[in-house]
Amino acid sequence: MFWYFQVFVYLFLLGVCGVMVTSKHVIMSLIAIEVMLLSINLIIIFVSLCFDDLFSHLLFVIILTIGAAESSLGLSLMVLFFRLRGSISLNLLSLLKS
Amino acid sequence: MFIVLFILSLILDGIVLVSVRNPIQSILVLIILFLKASIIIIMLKIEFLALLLLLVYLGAVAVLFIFVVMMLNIKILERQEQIFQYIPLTILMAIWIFYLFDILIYLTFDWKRDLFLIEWINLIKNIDSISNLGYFFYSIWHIIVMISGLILFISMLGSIALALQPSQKKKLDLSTQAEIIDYTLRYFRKTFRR
Repeated sequence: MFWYFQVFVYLFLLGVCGVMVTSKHVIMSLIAIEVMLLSINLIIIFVSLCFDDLFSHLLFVIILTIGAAESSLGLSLMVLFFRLRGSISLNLLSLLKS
Repeated sequence: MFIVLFILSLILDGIVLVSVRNPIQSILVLIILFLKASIIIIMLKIEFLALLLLLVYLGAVAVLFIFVVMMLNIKILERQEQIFQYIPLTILMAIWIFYLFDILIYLTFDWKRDLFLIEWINLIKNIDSISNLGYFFYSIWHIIVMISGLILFISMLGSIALALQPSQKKKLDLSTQAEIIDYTLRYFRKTFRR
């Protein structure tokens, strides 16, 4: 069982690497964040099975809700930003005049 | 032992998802990853959460991603040259998360005991996961379910308010004489320009 747990930790690390590598492309970063949330959900499910706990299922539902809200808000921000600037790039994301 | 195959293929899917360039292919790999995750959770006999994951992520989030990528006409990701400046930070975070999840939990919890799955639901009572969760969700943890519903409602309102364009038609307000003159002047300018 602990071996399964390690695999999901590696999946989380892949999500972190995806956020780092595709940091110029915001939608790919959002996808990598989704992968991180999925791996956290799987870790929580496995921990709940290991410790015979039902509270983790509630935590699963909360994380699912937060993930859906996060992705919807991020994508709507991206639509707004595309309408404003004409492209999605984190180089253009800073509105400050240096 | 199908579950081992599925779990190992999750890592492969994650590698493909990070390394692919086109965001549409990345989203398709994400859909496969969610399907495999829900299949794994179904194999662990937690059907309700697996169906919830399938419903929320594949039904809402992945379709939303595909919709946004198709709508925004985004180019293929160009590999940037400064990718190497992020590598030390990535390695640092990887070491930290590995320490946090793997070593710390391995040392603190008593993993030596037999951790194979006992079907604890069947030991207590012959009820399935859905009725068990439903009993707890709607009796003891009702306030948290309501809070999560509120979070979804607020996110829906926020995304609508962000993406809403203000209407172009202005309501005519011809109460004073100056506004009437201004309106007629603008009207004539618009007509004579054509």
